[in-house]
Order: sequence, then structure tokens, then C-alpha cells
Amino acid sequence: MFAGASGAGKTTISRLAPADATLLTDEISYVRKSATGYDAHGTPFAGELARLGAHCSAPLAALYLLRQGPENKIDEIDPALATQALLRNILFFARDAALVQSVFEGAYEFVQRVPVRQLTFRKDASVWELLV
Amino acid sequence: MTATYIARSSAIASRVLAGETMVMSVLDSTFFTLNEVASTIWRAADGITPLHEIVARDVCHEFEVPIDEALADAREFVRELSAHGILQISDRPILPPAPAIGIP
Repeated sequence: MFAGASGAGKTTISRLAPADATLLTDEISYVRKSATGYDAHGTPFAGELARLGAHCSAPLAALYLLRQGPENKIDEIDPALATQALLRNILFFARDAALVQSVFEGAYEFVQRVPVRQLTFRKDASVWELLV
Repeated sequence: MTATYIARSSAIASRVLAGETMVMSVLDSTFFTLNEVASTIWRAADGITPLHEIVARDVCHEFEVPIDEALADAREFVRELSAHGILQISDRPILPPAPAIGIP
């Protein structure tokens, strides 16, 4: 799963994915806890690719925070920064204190169970050699 | 010198991860990551122990920092957290709210 602000490259990296990859969505992702970790689900929302997400799910191996740059590389990031970055990318509008607390706890638990890394990539398909 | 007392707000969520304390305001979702020194002050913010005592007892002793320097940094730190409502500051001890008493 890839995360980042608008313009970070979510649609770009989706477009560069191998032809046999199943795209769950290039818009809002849906993530659920499973017995062994987390599953990412396709959603019926279309981003810039104008393609609806696939109606299926897959175990979540890692979350990559996207950044475009001159070379492809993966960097480990500090867990607290990962939590903060994840919170910035969760779609959440409520002002209710209990719900905010719940989202915070959810992000905290997620970061402990799923590797969160910074992915810097060039705009070509070579980035996928790092990922698969 | 007037004593300063500090207490953690109840309107926050906080967790320790990899030695750092993450604190988020549940009111405006402001997020702070506290380093080891800041975490020490945060943990000791019981509303009863004056800030200068916390700094002298926990910060200077543990991190070998001069008291004046440590206290100036601590005052700046608590002012910043207070501005976001995640830490209360007072010149008097901050006592927890009394439990409600049921009246039949």
C-alpha cells in the first residue's frame, strides 16, 4: 500500500505497476485488521486512473510513504514519524474526542504490526524491481 | 521565584513507541513527538511537583545538563504544549477534579 499527499505519486506508481498486478484502488484504500495482520481491500472509488478498484483484498505486507526523487530507494523511518505520517493520511473528519483517540490508537497499533517505510522513486517502472 | 506546576491534560492520547512519547490532542489532532528529555518531564507532570523540582530531580541528574539551561528549555517546552491545550500550567498545584458526589 502506498500513501502520500496529493501529488506524491500514488497514481503514478499505480500506472507503473507490472501488467499482471491487481490494482485495489488508486484512490481511497480500505484497511481492516485480520487474524494475522491487516488486509487491504479494493474500493469502488476511481482516482486519476479512472478505474474502479478490484473487488478483492490482500494481506498488507508494508506501507510505503511516497516521495518522488532522482533514484529509487527505500528508507526505514522512525516509528513515531511513521505514526504521524499515517495519521495525516487517514481520512477522518470527526471532532469527537473518543473517535480521535480511537484513530490514534489504531495508527499506533498499525505501525507496530506493519512495516512503514519511505519509498523514493523515479518515474519509471524500475521502482517495482525494489518492491516485488 | 514563583513555582510553576504542570499537569497532563485529559484531552490527549499518548503512547510510547521506540523510546519516544507520541502525544496527540483529541481536540485539534495536533501531534507531538517527545524526545527522551521531554518525555521525562511529561511523565513527571503530575500537577503537584513544581517544574523546577522535576527539572532538578529528573532532567539535570539523569542527563547531566546545567539547571539554568535545562529549566529555560523546560519552560519553553511546557509553554508550547500548553498553547496546544495538552498540558496545563499553573502557579498553584493542579489537583485532579473531585469525584462527583451522589445526592439522593
